Amino acid sequence: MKNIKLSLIVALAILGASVTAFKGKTTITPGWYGQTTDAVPPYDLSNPIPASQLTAKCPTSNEHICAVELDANGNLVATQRSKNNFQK
Amino acid sequence: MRPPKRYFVLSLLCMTTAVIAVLTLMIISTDNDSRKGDFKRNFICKTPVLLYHSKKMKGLRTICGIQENQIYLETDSVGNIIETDSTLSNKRLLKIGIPDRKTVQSLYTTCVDSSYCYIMAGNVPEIIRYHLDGLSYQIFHFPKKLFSESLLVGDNDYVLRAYQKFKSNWDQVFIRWNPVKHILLTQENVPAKRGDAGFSTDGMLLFDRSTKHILYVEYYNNQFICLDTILHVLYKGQTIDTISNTAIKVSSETTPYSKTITNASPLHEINLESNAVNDKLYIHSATPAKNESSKEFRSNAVIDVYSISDRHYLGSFYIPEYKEERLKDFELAADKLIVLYANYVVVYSIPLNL
Repeated sequence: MKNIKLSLIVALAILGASVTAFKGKTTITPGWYGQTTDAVPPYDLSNPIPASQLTAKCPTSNEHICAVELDANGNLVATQRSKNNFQK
Repeated sequence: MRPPKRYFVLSLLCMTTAVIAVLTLMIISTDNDSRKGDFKRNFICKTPVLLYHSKKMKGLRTICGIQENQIYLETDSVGNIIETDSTLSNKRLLKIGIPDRKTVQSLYTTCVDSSYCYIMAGNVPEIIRYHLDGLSYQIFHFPKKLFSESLLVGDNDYVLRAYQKFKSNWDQVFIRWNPVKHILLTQENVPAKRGDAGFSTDGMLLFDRSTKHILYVEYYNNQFICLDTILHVLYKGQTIDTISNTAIKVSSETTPYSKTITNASPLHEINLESNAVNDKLYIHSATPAKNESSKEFRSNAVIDVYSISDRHYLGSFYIPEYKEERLKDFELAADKLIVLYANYVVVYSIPLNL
């Protein structure tokens, strides 16, 4: 009986670990897509923000909009498109 | 005392179940990378024939103009344009001095047309029109809010996708703008307004000179919208992709000084680059069809062709990878296909039977 309990625990542990790993691979941190917001707009290629922040904000080099910056009063400040702000 | 045999069988069964579960998850996970659509493609052309290729060039972004024998390439430094001939030899760098370079650099599109180079600076917002002789330029300041997408449709005639506030939310509308004739027309009805600053309906603005139709191809939807030059909607077409809409969620983070709106979910693109020329709409699709192998799909860019005047699907063809680089942009000129990769430009011959 002990052996079967042990086997079940091991099997469930493997199953749990694999589900967690699978989830980790496909789901995103709730709320934000790995987002950081300390980049000062407008983004300037001559003074790049760290690549880790940039790839979080612009995950690919395709053309889509990846961020819209507003000021404290809700006025538009800048659009960031991936092709403009992405760096490898 | 030795445990009964059935305990071993049960233990083995549990372990096997766990292994099967892991394998199933792995298979599902792989399928996510190349999910096949519920449609078939009709291939109308064999692989294009390579005619010319450039040496390695860094910082290439898009093909920004084709005129007679000249090809113009936008680089990642605003105002620096590479000019080359159709055999990709005789390259030269055109350097245009840009006022307020920093803000312009943050969001710009370059377009070379009829001896002029246009820099569309969405974050300023303004359009700078240079004569290619480098001697003169004009700056047109856009009288509304910022724009995210721009298109040249005639002499000093532009169509922009610009921000507009609806109640308390930002969204985007199409605006036709002629700063010389003081024309400013707004089309608010398309694409759909979702109060998400235009994230979910983000797409590409295209202009077909032969039909004088404007097309808007969304990234995350199997829809393309056709408008005339006064922004009347002529029709809403559908690509062969069966995914009508992917869930694009946006979120924002607020500090005392700023607010940033951005994606809150991973993006699932349906349409990638696209092009409109001679009554044909060419769309680089991100979805493999039922009758394509995953290997073929991964090593090529598949282009679906539609008739602009009657919105029907005409067929598809592949553009291959070049030196393990994927297609970044493409243009069609007569029977030539000019393809931009991350570091190379390649000219192919493409006999399409349309």
